Order: sequence, then structure tokens, then C-alpha cells
Amino acid sequence: MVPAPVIQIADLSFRWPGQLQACLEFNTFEIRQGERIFLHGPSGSGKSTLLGLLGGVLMPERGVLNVLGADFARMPASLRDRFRADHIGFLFQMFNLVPYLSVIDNVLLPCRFSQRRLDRTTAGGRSLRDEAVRLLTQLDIGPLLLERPVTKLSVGQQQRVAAARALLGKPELIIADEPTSALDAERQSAFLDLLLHECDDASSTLLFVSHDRRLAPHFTREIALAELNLAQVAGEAA
Amino acid sequence: MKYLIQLAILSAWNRRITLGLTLVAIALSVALLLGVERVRHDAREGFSQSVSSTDLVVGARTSSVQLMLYAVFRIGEATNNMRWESFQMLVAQPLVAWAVPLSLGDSHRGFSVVGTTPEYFDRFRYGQAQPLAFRAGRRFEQIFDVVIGATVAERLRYELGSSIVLNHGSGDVGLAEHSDKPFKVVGILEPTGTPVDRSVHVGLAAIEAIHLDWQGGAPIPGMSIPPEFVSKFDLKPKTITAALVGLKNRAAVFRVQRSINEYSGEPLTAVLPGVALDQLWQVVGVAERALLAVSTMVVAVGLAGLVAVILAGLNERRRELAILRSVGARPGTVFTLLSIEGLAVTVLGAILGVVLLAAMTALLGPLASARFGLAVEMRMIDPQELKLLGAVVGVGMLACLIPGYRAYKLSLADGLTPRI
Repeated sequence: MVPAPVIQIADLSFRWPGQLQACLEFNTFEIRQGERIFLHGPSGSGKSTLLGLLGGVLMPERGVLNVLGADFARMPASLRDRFRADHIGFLFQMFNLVPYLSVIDNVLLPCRFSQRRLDRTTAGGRSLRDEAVRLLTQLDIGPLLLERPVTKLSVGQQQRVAAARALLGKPELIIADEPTSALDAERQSAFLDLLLHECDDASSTLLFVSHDRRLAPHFTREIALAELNLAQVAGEAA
Repeated sequence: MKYLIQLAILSAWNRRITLGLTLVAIALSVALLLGVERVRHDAREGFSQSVSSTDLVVGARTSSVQLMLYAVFRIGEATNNMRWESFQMLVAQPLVAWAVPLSLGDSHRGFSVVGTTPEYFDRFRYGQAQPLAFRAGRRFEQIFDVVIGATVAERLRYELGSSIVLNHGSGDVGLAEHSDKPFKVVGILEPTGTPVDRSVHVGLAAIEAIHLDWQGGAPIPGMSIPPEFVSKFDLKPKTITAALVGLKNRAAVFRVQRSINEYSGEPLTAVLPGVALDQLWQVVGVAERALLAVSTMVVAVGLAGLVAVILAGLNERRRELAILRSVGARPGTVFTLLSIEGLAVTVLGAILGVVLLAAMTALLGPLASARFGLAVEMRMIDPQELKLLGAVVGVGMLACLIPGYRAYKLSLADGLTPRI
């Protein structure tokens, strides 16, 4: 049986307001459940725009954009916001955490905005906090750090806390935007292993965006954004 | 929503130094605004209560404002006096219950001298019809007895038995002295917060006595009548400056006023103190309104500072807002988050301002009362002040929609990846 599609894009075009040229133009692009996708592209190839589209904060000009069966191209913004909170975990490159919240509060953040994430987190019979602590422990963040302000953590620790936040409540799709670029090579690899392992645990699909092609072997499929994007993008910031 | 408020508080705490300073600025400006409003209110109150229970003030023909100025506030001088016969005519009126004469024009070291009758201490009322009370001593009985107001006693350090010399005319320097006829302090009044505190009261006869050997505002050369002999002269006054009149029936006040104004013996003016005080306040009120305008602007500056601080902090928070969006916050949520912060600081500032004002009145109230005769009391906020406070919070709320709106636009434009 072929796994269900998680992301379906067809004949998609996006243009920033006030610009003449389209920034993204896709023919077709599909990610299926359980895949570990490595998406790479240099700065300016439209990565941020694609993430904005997949996250539901940007609207395509035309085309099909389905995420987990939801038709983003036709959904009102508030529903897309809700959908994102319910089904997608995000992981960014640096400054990934809300600086004035403690470690545990940062991890619990998605459950404050999404009832579904909250329900899924506590579905196993554990309390919300226990589940967060379990996830953090798996990611090598010990109980001593829980109430610590996140600004007191090392970059590597911060990224693992951010990963725990993205994974809490087992969202179907994890989108990671260069989460390892601030880590040295050794830690990069360790972090990736942890992330992939947790994705397996949560049976989440992973879309990993990076410009560093050395990481590609960890994934099941590698896609070059430049080949995918038909628009001739120049001067657009990453 | 509850979590949003918690988030706003935590975020604000994270920037507590800048926000704290802004909070202090707003609290100070609110305290200033309320303080000015309160002083204004109390000054007006004190002003309108400087004479009470008097139905008419009567003097020679002049404007009502001017009559009030010299008869009640001892400011300026009467251009004309009224004849003693006219005063007796007043007393004889069937509707008049009492009349107290006032003879002004002399001074003592800057404080005005009021020649009057002992009845003055019964009839004169201030505030809510409060009578004059003696802190020490008694009324004047002998010709050269004097009763002084609280401020006079305090400023000049006079006690019972102090000997004082009156000046001819009013002012501070270069005045001729009635040095041949010294007076003795026999009574000191309690403070009233009215011009009475700054007055020196003597009998009408005393005013006549010190001017016996004077003519045209100067001593008659070669003529000097020693104090022992003054009682041998006729000390019945020929003129007085003004009179305070009480009626048997207040409803008749306009009738009596008209009959005095139309008196055929000499041109007289009778004014209703309440009406004249209101007119007078219109004049004084300009300064008071300017003061209120200035403090309103100070509040506006404080609120503008708040908006500026929140706006300035916004750029550093774009990443944070993007994170919140990634976990499901809507642009509207971001707008609310920012607006809550501004509103909270405004409300806290207003509350702190009220507390500050209370503390200042408690600390500085006695000083203001002693130094400037301003009776500023410690009290709860009245509805008028509450309205003012509400206006501040309302304007603050509106102002804080600006950073909220800006954050909303930013988070729409930034999406999940702010371009910083």
C-alpha cells in the first residue's frame, strides 16, 4: 500500500506583493507519510517562501496546495493558523525559543494554542508535563534544566528543547529549517540522530531544509529546491 | 486568553527596566494631572468659601468684582468710601438682620488692617458657615487692642501682648507710620484658609484715632495728639469702606440689593458674594485652566513614551512573535498580546499615580497648607477625578493599538521567518 500524501503541490505559483515576477513556481511536488525529506537549496532559492506556504502563513497565487489533506489554497487564514498549530511542528535555525519562558514552558507552548496537540500529548495516559519531561529526557535535557530560563542554555541544548517543542503531541508533519547550522559537525550528527529517532517514535513525516548537503545521507530522499522551483529567483532573501 | 495575559506579563517582565521606567513616567504624569486637578478644585473651593452666610457686600459705587477684591480679598484699594450715614441707613432697613462695617486702607508690614466692630467675630463666616475661632486671647475692647489672623501671628512671630505699629496705606516699603499710637495684640485667630488669616483687626474707633492728627494722608505738622487723649475726641467714623450684610429672609436678597443700588443718599453697590466670586473665578480661572492643559500634555508625553518604548522593542521581538505564530498564534493573537501589554502598563501607571498622589498629599499637604494657604486634603478619588483617570486609560488604550497594529502587520509580513 502506498502511504498517504502529506504534502501535495501542483501547478503552484507564489508572488510577493508588489513584485512582478513570481518567486515560486512548482509543477508538482509530493511528500508521502513517513518520508524523511532533505530539501536543500542556496540562499535565495525560495526556502523561506516555501516554508511560509507550507505553514499556511502565505497564500499561493494559484495552484494546488494540500497539506495533510487540507486545501490551504482555499482555507481562510484563521483555519490555516489552527491547522498549523494542530498538525505541524516547526523547528528553526537559531533563537528558536521564547526568551522569557522557562525550558518546560517553551516545550508546552504548542499545547497552549492547540487543543488537539494537548489531547494527543495526554492520550497515552501521561500528564502534559510528564510527557514533556519524557520527551526532554529523551533529548538529553535533564530534569534539572526544566525551570531554567532558556537563555542560560547552550545553543545545542536550545535546539534540543526546540525539537522537543516541535515533537510534543506527535504532529503529523515536522518542518525543520536549518536547525543544525549553529552546531558543530559532531553535534550536528548527534542532534540529527536524536531528531530522526523521535520522528520515528512519533511517526511524523520530516521535511528538513538545509544548505549543507553533507547531512543528506541521514534522509530517505533528497530534493534540490533549485530544480523544483521553475521561477528564476534573484535577490530574494533566504 | 488567560494564557495570553500570562504570556504578556512574562514578556513584559523580561523587559522590566524600560517598561518600568515608562511606568514611572506615566505614574508621575498621572499624579501630576490629578494633583493639579485637585489643587484646582480645592483652590476653587477655598475661593468660593472665603466668605459665607453673608447675603450682600455693600460699598461705594464700583464694579462687583472690584468690590469683592478689596472687601473680601483685601486686594487693591477702594476708590471711594461710603458714608457712615449710609451704613446706618442699611442697619435700619427692616429686612436687614445685621450689618458689619469694614474700614480698610491701612496696613501692618504688608498685612491689611481691617477696622470693624466686635460683632464681626460673630457674623463673619467662611467655608460651610464656620465661625471664626480664637486660638488665644479675646476680641478687641480697648481702642488700641488688635486681633490678628493666624498667618500674621506665625509670619511675624507675634504673641499675645506684642506691641505693633500700623502703617498708613498699603504696601511694603516707604509708608508713613502711626508710630505715636502703638497697638497691643489681645487675640489671635485660628487658621481659616481665607484672607482673614492675613488680616489685622482693630476697632473702627482705632482707625479714627490714629488719623486724628492726620490730614490728606500725612501727619499735620506741629500737631500731635498723644494716645491718652484720643478718647476725648469724637471717634465716630465719618466713612467706611464696605459692609457685610445679613438678611432676615434670604429670599428678599434681590429686593434689598435693588433698593441699595438705588439709594438716593449716595451711589452704592450691593453684590451677592456667590455671584461675584463666580465672576472673579472666571478671571483667575485662566491660569488654572492653563495649568490643567500643561499637565494634560505631560500625560500625553508619558503615553507617547509608552508607545515609543513598545514600538522600539518590537523589532527585537519579531523572532519571538514568529515563534508564537509557528505554534499557532494568529496575527490577531499577536495584536492582542501587544495591546494587553500597553493597556496593562497604562492601567498600572494610573493606579500607581493615584497612590503617588496620596503619598504626596500626605507628605506635602501640611506644607502646602502652611506655606501657600492651600488646603489640600487627603481623600478618596471623586467622580470628576475618576473621569479624568478613565480618560487617561482610554487614550492609553487607543495609543497602544498602534504597536499592536504594527505587530499585526509585521507578523503578517514576516510569517514564520522574520527578515531582520
